[in-house]
Amino acid sequence: MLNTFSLVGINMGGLKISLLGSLMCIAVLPACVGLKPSVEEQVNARIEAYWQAMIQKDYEKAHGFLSPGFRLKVDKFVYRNRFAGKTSYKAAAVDGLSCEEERCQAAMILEYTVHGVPPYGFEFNRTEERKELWVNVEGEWWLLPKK
Amino acid sequence: MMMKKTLVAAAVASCFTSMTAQAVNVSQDATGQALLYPYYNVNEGNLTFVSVTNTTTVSKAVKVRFREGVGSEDVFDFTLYLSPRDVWVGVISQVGGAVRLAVPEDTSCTVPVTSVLTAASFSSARIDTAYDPDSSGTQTADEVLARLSEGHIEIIEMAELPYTAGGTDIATAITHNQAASPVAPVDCQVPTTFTGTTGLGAILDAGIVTASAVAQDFQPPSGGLYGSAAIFNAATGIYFPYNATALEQFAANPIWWPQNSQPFSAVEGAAAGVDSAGNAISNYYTADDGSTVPTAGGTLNFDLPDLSTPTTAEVTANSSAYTVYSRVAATSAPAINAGSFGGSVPAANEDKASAVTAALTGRNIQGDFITSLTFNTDWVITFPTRYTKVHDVLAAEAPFTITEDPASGQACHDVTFDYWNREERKNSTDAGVGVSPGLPAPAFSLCYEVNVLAMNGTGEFSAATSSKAVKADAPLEFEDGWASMDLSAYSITPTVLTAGDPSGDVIGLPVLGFTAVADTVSGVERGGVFGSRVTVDEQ
Repeated sequence: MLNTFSLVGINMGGLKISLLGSLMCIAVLPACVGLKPSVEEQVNARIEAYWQAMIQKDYEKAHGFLSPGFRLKVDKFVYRNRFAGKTSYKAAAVDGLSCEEERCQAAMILEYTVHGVPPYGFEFNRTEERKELWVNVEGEWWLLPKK
Repeated sequence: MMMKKTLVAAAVASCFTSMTAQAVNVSQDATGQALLYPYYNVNEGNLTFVSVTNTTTVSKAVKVRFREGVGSEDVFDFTLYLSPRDVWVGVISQVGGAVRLAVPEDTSCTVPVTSVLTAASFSSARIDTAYDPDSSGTQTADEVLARLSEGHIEIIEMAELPYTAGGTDIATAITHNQAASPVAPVDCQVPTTFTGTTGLGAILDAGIVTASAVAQDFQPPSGGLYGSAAIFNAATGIYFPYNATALEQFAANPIWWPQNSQPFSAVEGAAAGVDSAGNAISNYYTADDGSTVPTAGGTLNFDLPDLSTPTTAEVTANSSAYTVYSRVAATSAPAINAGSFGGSVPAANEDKASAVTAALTGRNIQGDFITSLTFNTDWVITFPTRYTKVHDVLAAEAPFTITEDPASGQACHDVTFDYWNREERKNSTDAGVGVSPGLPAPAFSLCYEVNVLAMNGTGEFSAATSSKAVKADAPLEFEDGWASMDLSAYSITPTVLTAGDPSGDVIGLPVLGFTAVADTVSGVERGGVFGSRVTVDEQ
């Protein structure tokens, strides 16, 4: 299960922390012994890195995981403004990963806080199930947001 | 003679100016007894915040009801008790394949209590089992979830709750104790005692409240409510806030009803089969009774009040404080009391739904569209009383002309849709789908209670599939400009019951809505919500 269920986060709430997954990688996964990681392993690693950046509010780094085409449309400054001061992501988990050729769909479970929506002005903590599409472009996996 | 009024709607707050004090009418200051919110959307991570504020110094009981957008079925409702100057805010979202209400920071009393309310999901109980929009032969969970995830909201004041000297009333119980920590109402269990299963009479017998307390606790609504909603998405940062449209003079008597699923007749405490005035219960219907054809006894207590229930001035024996709304008969054409929107006090057999319909009727919807550069545009068009005319009726009732198809959820009404660019150039071909060029007017169909119109296939709601159940595409010849939707093919004819009341057709359809513009790159930082201009003048 761990190979398809990776977790990242600071305050995980009810989600399991999967640093254990990384430790197990050292011992058992093919990538750890020099074999080329599977598509799922590659994508899981990218997902984890992207969400680590989002949780740490390093939006410029997170922007670097977006597909080249999307990055041309939405630059890092605009991307930052989607979240900064509005939403803080707290935790992220992959609840399933389905890959076909150059596309993988990740079923994510995300915990975040919405920092007040005018005129209501209170913080709202939420867990959301979100499907994210990762695409392979020139040998690398990139997140392709819906918009 | 056509009614000749001019109206410019700010956001959804369209304002009719010629209504009299006794008639239900759209408030010009956005405060009133009933609040109409044209759109909620919880697809694709959207959150919809909704609020209501009591601006008055008197406590109020209000009905909060969420209706899905295809056919306007009741999917979630509860009773909210607002103390003086109180505000209530809730948030709806998808949680684990269901739609849920959250009340993260509000202590106002509700029935059921908030902990029960927030543990419940929006209900598909009243969505027709025949609903199968893709004609696959099977109604899927995704289809139902999509239908629950978009819609509109109505909040209706049921009664005022005045204070009494003894402090044993509901008003005292629901008022926040400012000395407590944290500040909270005195006792939210008090209003829940009205949810007994054997009717108000038994509740009174149980001594929870006295008969005189009922009279003292429920006084006529007075208005003074305003509301707003906002749709927010954490993934994109979009943020669309809008004000609710308010109706004034909605009811002259308390219209409080227990928040339970007992048959409507149980409340009356009268002989079986008749109400306290001796009228047959079989005459009582609402559009919410859950059957294809309205049936006797289908109306349940929690269905009341709503916008669909015509008024018959029934006064119960329990107290003079109650007015019962009824639909006179399923097979009868609705009698529209002109007094309901023409100047005199509503009388028996007033068609309440038509009164609200007339108050909301507009002849044209006009607004901008911008789809050049990185902008997109949706028009949200909601007919808040449409379902009372097309759903659960034997024949469509004016101003609507087509009954709802249970399988598709559609009752498609053609409207004329013209548009211009910013240099006066008009569309040369039809804006509608499948209509040949050269016809006098391009046709376009609006099929649902809530319609999300994707201008040039763009739109923050429509383009990314966050609008699933009620989307319509509007391919246009121009990237930017303005459009006018002509609804004048439809009308409602009031029956003049009182000499001197205005006569003549009310032209158009009952409509609310707004234009949602977003920047596809930066969300709404360069977009926003703009009022659709609704007019009743001939253009």
